[in-house]
Amino acid sequence: MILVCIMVTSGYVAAQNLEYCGIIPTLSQTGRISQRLNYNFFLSETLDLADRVIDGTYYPSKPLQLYIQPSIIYAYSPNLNFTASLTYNYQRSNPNVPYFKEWRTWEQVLYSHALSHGRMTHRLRYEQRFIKNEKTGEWPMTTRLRYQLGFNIPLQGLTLDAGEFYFNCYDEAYFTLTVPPGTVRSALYSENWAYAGIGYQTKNIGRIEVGPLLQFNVRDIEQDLRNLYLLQVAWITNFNFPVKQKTGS
Amino acid sequence: MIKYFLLLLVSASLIIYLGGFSFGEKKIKKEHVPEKIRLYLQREYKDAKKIKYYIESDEDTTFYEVELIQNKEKISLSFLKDGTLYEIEKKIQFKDLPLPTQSNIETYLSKSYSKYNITDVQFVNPHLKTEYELNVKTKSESGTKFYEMFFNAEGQLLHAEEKTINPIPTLF
Repeated sequence: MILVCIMVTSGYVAAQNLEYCGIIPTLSQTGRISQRLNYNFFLSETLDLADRVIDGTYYPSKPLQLYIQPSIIYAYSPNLNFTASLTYNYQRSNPNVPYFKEWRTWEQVLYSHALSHGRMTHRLRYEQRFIKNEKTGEWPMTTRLRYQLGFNIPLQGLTLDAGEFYFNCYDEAYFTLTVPPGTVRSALYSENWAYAGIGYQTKNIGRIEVGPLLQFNVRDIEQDLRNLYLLQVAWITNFNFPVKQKTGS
Repeated sequence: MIKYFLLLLVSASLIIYLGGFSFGEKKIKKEHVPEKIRLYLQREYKDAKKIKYYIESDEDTTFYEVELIQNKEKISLSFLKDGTLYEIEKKIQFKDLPLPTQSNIETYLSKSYSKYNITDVQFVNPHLKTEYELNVKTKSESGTKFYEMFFNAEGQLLHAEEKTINPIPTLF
């Protein structure tokens, strides 16, 4: 949130920004492969829901981005996970431009610790993005570092049970490290996502979580922003909170 | 593209629903807890906060379980069906254990593993008989493992279970 405030209160907002409102349905399923190895399948679609005219240009409501993100998680300890993924991403910066295709590999370290009755998470991800250049047919590489600070807490008691609510929030800052030769980096601190939501643990079908997600990204070297005001609707299965365990005697 | 997304969403929901995610114990309301237990809690834990009640069947025995916080301390209580207190669980520090108990536990761990780290200690007393539940990270030739170990009041190992490590939840 602090990073978002810095971005908003800086000179960025005076520039020619594009603003969109929409919804981002997401699906996340985590399952066990072996004692330490787990998989996650993540899917999301960003949908711009309102037609609008910005500076005389008509932007019809259209899908903006599709993420297909399978990953392998190595749970080194209850507090430390390592993850790697090959992600496919199909996106456009606004509804008037063609989609670009991207393959992305990333490696991630995730650390978690208790805070009050909730849990704090620190996530560091290093991405290698291969975005197709339609003119040359090549897939040059861009690298990016992301840091996410998250917090979640059951709202009814110490543990989360079926039929109960929880709170989840995170802020993630994106830092573009390298760009392909012959191109110019828009900004080092190039993107930020901030989210706060309320979730509900169902009895049989995992968790449903809803909340506002604000995405800001620097879209050109003039530091113009694309702001997405989204409603994130997530369906999460095997999203574990501490589970009460009965002791043997 | 939206069609594909919806199709995937529906397929996944069917798989998950048919897979049958379920919980081992059932949360219940206070009024469904036997009066004897409610009176005990009123008497012994009158300042308790965030109280939750559960019912759980373990083979032929039914337990009522109560989770609460008193004086910033997390406490878990188990009662038999007739309201008799069966077990109290609460977090303590390893240094709070009696010294001979500490010494016996440390001797066992150092003999069994090349390295170990006690991450969490709970006082438990099934049948009101003192036991200690330790979460221990161990290193040996077979690699790093995480155990839940139960020791008696003297510090002798009763049994140990290797813990399943769940991935840390995160989105995107």
